[in-house]
Amino acid sequence: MSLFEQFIRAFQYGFMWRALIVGVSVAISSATIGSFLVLKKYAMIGHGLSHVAFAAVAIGLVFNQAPLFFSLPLVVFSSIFVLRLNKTAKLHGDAAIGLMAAFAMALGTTLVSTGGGFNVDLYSYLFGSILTIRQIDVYFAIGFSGVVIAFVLLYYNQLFSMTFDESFARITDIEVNRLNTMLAILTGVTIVIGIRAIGTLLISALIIFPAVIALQFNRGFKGTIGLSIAISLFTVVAGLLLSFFLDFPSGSTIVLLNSLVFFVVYLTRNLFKVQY
Amino acid sequence: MMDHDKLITVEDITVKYDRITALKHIQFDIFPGDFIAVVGVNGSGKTTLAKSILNLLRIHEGRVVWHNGTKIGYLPQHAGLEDRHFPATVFEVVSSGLLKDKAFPKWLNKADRNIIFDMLRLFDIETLADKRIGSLSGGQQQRALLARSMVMNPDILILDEPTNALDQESRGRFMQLLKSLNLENKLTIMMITHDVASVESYANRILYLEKHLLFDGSFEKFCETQPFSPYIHTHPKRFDKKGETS
Ligand SMILES: Nc1ncnc2c1ncn2[C@@H]1O[C@H](COP(=O)(O)OP(=O)(O)OP(=O)(O)O)[C@@H](O)[C@H]1O
Ligand SMILES: [Mg+2]
Repeated sequence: MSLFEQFIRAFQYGFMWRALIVGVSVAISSATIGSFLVLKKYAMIGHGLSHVAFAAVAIGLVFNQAPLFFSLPLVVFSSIFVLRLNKTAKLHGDAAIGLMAAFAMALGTTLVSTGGGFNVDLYSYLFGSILTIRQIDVYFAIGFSGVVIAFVLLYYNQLFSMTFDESFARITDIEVNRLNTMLAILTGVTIVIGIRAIGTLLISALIIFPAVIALQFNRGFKGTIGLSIAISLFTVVAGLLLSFFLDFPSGSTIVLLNSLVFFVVYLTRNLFKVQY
Repeated sequence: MMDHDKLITVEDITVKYDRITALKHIQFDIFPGDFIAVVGVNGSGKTTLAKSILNLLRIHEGRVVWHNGTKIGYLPQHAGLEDRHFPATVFEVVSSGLLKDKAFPKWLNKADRNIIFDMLRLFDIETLADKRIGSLSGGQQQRALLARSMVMNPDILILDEPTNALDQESRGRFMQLLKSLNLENKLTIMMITHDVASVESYANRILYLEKHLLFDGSFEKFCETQPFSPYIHTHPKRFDKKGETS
C-alpha cells in the first residue's frame, strides 16, 4: 500500500479525526497559555501540574471514576495554589513546584502499585493514546480551547502589559491578580485537555517547547505568540499522523518532533548565524 | 498653599516588609511643577517610597492621597528589562501606557496608534518602533519606557534611578529632556537618584531619606543643614564653591 493510500485510510477512522480535532485544540491553547507562562518565568508550573494530573488520573483509576473529569478540579486547584505560593515567596517558587511534583508523582505511583489491574490504561494516560479519545473529549477540547482563545483575545493588551511589567500594569488599573488567577485556571484546563492526546507526563513540553522555539525568532509579542501557535499546530498534527503510521505513542512523537524543531532552529541560529 | 493645589499628599506613612520597617512616619506634599530629587543610601527606602505613592505596596500606617484624579507615570528601577530577550517591540511597550483610560477590551484604534507614534517621534525613537525593546541601547530603552508613561498624559512622573544605565552623554540628554518636560509641559517630576550632579542642576527640591525623611527643601538648604550627609562628601566641588562665596 502506498504512503498516500495509507494517509487516506487514516482518515477513514473516526478516532483519527477525533485525535486531530483534540490535537488542534490542545495545540492552540497550550501554545498561547504557554507563551505567557514561559515569559512570566512560570514554565515550571506546567511541569509541576502535569505531575499533579498524573496523581489525579491515578486516583480516578483507583476509584474507577472518569479520570479526566476527576483531574480537572484537582489540577485547576493546584494551579491556583502554586501561583499563590509563588507570589508569597516564603518558599522559593521553583523549589515549591519541585516539591509538589515529587509528592504528586509518589502519590500516583503508590496508588497505581496498589491498584494493579490498569497498567495498560495508565500507560495511555502517561504518554497519550489517540485510540482512547472519545466523542465527549472532543467537545470538551473544542469548548475549552474556545474559552482560552476568547480570553486571550479579550484581555490581550492587559495580558501583555502585566507580562512585560507587572508594576506598571497595576498603576494603569489592570487587575493583575484576577488575570493571574484566570491564567492559572486556564493552565490547569489546558493540561487536562492535553492528557488524552499527549499524556500527563509530556503535556508540559507542549506548553514550553513552542514558546521557547518561537522566542528564537526575533519577533515582537504578538508575532511570538502567533509563531508559537503555528509551531505547536505543525508539531501536533504531524506528530499525530506519524504516531499513527509508526505505531508510536502520540505524546512522545509530538514531543520528539518539538525537540527536533528546537534543535534545528537553535543550531542554525547559533552555529550558522541564520537570522530569522 | 490650598489643598486643591496639591497633587499628592503623603500622610505620615509607615511601610514594613515582614519584620523590616522600610519607611517611618514619612510626611510631605507634592505640588504641581515640582522637580523633586529623592536621595539616600542603598536600602534607605527610596524605591519603597515610590511604590507606596503608586499604591503598589500595603501601607501599615498613614495613607497616600491622590488629589482629584492625579495621573501618575512610573519608570521603575528595574523596568521589566532584566530579560534582554523579552519579545516586545518598542511600539508594544509604549502602547501599554494607553490602557488606563480605555474601556474593555482595551483594543487600540487608529487614534491610539497616532498618539503612540507622535510620542515615539517626540522621543526620537520612531524608527525603532518595530525593534525589540531589549535590542535597544540603555538610553533608547529609557526613552521608550518614558514614552510609555507619557502617553498616559500624566500629571506627575515618578522615576526610579532612570539614568543608572546611561553614559555621561546620554545621561545629560535624558536629564535635559526631563527638565524640558518639567518646564514646558508643566510635568511634575519625582526622581530617585544617586547622581548628585543632576540633583544640583535640575531639581528644585530634595527629599533626603533614611527610613525617616531627614530633609525636605532646596539644594542650597540641603548643603547647609546636612553637611555630613554622604551626598555632600561625594560632591567636593560644592564645598569649594561655598568656600569661595563665603
Ligand atoms: N520586597 C521586599 N521584601 C523585603 N524587604 C524589602 C523588599 N524590598 C525592599 N526591602 C527592604 O526595604 C528596605 C528599603 O529598600 P528599598 O528598595 O526601598 O531601598 P532603596 O533606597 O530603593 O535602595 P537602592 O538605592 O539600593 O535602590 C531595604 O532594607 C530592603 O532590604
Ligand atoms: Mg531602589
